[in-house]
Amino acid sequence: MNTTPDNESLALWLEDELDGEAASKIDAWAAAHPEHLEERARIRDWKRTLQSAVPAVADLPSAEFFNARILREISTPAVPANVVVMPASKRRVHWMPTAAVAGMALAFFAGSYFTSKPPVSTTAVIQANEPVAYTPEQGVRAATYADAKGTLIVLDGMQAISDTRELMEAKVKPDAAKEFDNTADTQQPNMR
Amino acid sequence: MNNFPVQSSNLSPGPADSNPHALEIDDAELVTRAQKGDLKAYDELVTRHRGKIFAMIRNMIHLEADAWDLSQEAFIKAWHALPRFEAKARFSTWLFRIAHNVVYDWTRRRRIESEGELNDEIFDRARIDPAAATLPARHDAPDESLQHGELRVKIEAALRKLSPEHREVVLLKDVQGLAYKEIADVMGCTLGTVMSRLFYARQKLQTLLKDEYDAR
Repeated sequence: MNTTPDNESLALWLEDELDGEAASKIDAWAAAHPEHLEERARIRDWKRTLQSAVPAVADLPSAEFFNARILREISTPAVPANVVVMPASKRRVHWMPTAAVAGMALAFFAGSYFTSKPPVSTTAVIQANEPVAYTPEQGVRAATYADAKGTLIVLDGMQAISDTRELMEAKVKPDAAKEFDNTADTQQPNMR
Repeated sequence: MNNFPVQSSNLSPGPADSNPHALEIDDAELVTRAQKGDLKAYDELVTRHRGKIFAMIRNMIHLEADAWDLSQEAFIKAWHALPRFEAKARFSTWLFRIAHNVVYDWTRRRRIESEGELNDEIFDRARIDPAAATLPARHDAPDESLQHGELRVKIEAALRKLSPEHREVVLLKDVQGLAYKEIADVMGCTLGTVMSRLFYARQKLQTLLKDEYDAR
């Protein structure tokens, strides 16, 4: 090929996007134009460098859960068009105080109930293999996914915890017989 | 989205084609089954392509958790759009197109919710060397003596400074290995625009990497 290829063909050739006769023609032309061969070599080199630094495929965190959630979403019937869905952020903010109060009340009730009545282990039937997860917050769906590695509890729709929020570390002492008031031994302030 | 033209026969498919599952059942068959409502077939398609879509979105937005969510959104949207997919393009290219829309919708939402917080256009055009070659010359590029991780950090930092359009075209072309035509389909623009964007994106990257390399 003695004639200069058009710009588009040359661009495709530089990127190795041509094959067969189209590529052969420009290969023959480029033999007399080493600058284009050099440019193509630089492009190949650049791609190798970039591909070694920026992976084209990444491992997903919780990959199985990723699939499971998609399957659940596409298995669920779509929301009818006439239903107005509030944006998730507003929905969460709106129900957060109510949910927090409900959660605290539930925790208080559960705490007072279980500390006052010893569990009757001889009669209770517990389905240990079927964990039940729920959330008091409206708009948040709780689900569990179990496999050989463990159980994943998912609260779908819950507001993400900010990276800047500091979480208190809570340690459970398995040998602790009962709850205790860690302020009981401290000296009471003089109330007079 | 479903009207991709048939790829010309003299164009080589990019490396995105190299799929370890290709020897088992090809994407086209799984797509056909999924279009008939076979969830298992679609699950297999998700498994095959989730790594690429997640990597692409993460490289676009640089937020892992959001990239995870947006990847899911892309696959869910793809499922709903699947009946309209005519297999004129590769399934992976079609997915990239959906991921492109998902990312740009997300970017728009973020811009509306926090005006001014997201600013990808921080690259100063005046810093581009007009005499620069299209690509980083070999002697200007970070050499092999650089640690692999260090090189990655530098390239990722440079990519972040590109506009979303320039970043996307580099990622699709140089990382994902899509053909020009496929990129035009994904980004919804002409072949000429893709070529032009790629030229300027590589030029910007050259300038950015050269600065960082010289600063060492």
